[in-house]
Amino acid sequence: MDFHSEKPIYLQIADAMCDSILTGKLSPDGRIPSVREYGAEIGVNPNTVMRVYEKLTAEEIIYNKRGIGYFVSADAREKVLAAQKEEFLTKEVPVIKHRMQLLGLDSKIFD
Amino acid sequence: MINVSNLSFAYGQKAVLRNISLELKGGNIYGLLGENGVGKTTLLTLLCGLKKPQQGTIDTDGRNPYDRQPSLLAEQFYLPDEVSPAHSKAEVFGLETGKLWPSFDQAKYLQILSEFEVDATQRMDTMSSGQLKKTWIAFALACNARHYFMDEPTNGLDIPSKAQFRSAITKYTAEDSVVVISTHQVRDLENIIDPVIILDKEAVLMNASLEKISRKLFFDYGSEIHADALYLERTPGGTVQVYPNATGEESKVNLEALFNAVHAHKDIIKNLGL
Amino acid sequence: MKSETFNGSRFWNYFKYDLVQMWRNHMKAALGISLAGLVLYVAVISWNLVFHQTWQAPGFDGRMIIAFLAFCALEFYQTRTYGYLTEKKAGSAWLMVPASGVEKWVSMLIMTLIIIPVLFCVVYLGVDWLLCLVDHTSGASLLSSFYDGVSKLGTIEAADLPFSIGSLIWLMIAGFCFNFLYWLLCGICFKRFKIIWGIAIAFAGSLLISIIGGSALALNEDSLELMAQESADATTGFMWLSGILTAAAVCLAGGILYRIKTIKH
Repeated sequence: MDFHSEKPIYLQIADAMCDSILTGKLSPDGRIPSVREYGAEIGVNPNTVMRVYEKLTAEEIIYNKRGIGYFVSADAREKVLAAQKEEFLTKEVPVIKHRMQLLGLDSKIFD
Repeated sequence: MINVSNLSFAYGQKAVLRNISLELKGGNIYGLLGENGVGKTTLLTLLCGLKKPQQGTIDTDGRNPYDRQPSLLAEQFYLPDEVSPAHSKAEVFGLETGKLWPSFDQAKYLQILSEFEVDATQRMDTMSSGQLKKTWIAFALACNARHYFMDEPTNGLDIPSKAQFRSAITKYTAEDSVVVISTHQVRDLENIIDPVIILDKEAVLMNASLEKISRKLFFDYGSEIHADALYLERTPGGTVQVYPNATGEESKVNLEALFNAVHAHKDIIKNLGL
Repeated sequence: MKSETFNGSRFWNYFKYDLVQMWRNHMKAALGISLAGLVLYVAVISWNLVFHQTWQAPGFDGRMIIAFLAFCALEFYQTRTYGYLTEKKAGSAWLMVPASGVEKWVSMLIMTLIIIPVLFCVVYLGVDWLLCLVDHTSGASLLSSFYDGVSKLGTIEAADLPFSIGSLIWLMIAGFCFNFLYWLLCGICFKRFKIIWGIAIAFAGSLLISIIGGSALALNEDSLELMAQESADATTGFMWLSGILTAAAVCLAGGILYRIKTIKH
């Protein structure tokens, strides 16, 4: 995996996992690789992967079955969608609005 | 866990390590960074018991590594920068030498060799230096040790091998192991090492996890120049600037910029508690 | 909980490893030295064929001298067998092998004092015996004359000899151990010029002993008489010499263990 963005690596990995959930690569209640397996796959420190899993668990996108491993939540897709919509509206839309004002564009460009 | 306290070492009159204290906890892959000649190799050889501390102590799970007790030797592996070839095929080397490490696993050794694209039937004394290094890395990982001390393990490896190494080090070390990797090629090991130890002649300048570092320092990749930046480096896409993190927002740690910032502002870094 | 100092199965494991490494890296050279008799045979036969047009194998005396020289060469070779311990790469790897210092030491002693010399003697004497068997111009083989010598000693009445056979054998073994351990210790102590250092120290040591011994005698005139009396009783002299050599060999073995324990890289 290449990490080009300026975000911390663990957030980039979390984003990539959320994308996999949205595209259906990771299916609801499907098992996801262990911390070490996934770390080895993408060449990243296990502590970093652990942080990703902790973050996604806190957001209830994945869950931990003790002694078995991590799984995708049944409603993970909805949760990811809601979170991404929220982020789009609060973070990206204001930036786009600001750009459009600067360039003198209005909402007609979306038609 | 390994506890280093007030460790000093000199070669004759030339002091290399002075009053170094350090704590290494299980379940971590430590990156040992430092300028040339700062004593990275010396520290590693002290940690594995090849040298005797002139002052201070090293405590590895309650044992002194310099005693070279077989039970501790069986649990650790030191991989030097330069390795010597055995006069036999790689697979035979595993069978013969592996017996000395009680937890050695020949199947795992052959598996890692194949992942590294090393021919197990090739004689080690006819291998290129990169192949030989990979054979030793495979052997080391197959020993299932708990403490790994690796001196510049990516030296001499070609580009695909470096990625294979990063993957293998995560995949084949135990969860509670202490892995210490010294390197001056931080790009080879970016994303793999965490925590980061920055060693200087007089002291350990930093021993902190990436999470802690990114909470205390902000890595700004934008083009706007900050006046209070501890370090600034121009890159093709803009700049990398490092300054104390005021907002608590996390950013991607750039190890080279971190290293340079720490070296330029030792006091400020110390005051940040890193 | 296994002992950290000596554990049977761990030692056996290490010993097998040491044996394989020795075979792979050094035994061939040691065997090469033990073929000196064959080299001499071929050389002398060719010499005689070319210059005298006769088929004449080397005589007993010549073979005895070469055997002695080959044995000396084997002694020097002991600086090589474990000489790699002083090298950074190979020495570090050896130190990190999970076996105790004592286990590595015992293995080293068995290798140096038993395996290598026995193998050498078997091959050397075996080749010599075969050559004598095949080529009658050789005369008696070293092995058979050795056997003759021993059986002659056996027939002499104990009272006829100024020393017992046992003490002679003891002296020989102690001397042999002392020599081999001395060169082994030189091999693992000096990084370079191992043999030259060994010779220099042996020279300095013997000089020192003769100076000390000489001045001790000069200081005490009675001791000269005492010495004369003592040497009249050869058995006592033998015992003294053997005792000193044995003690020295034990000290060397102790020195080797100390070196193993404290070597640093």
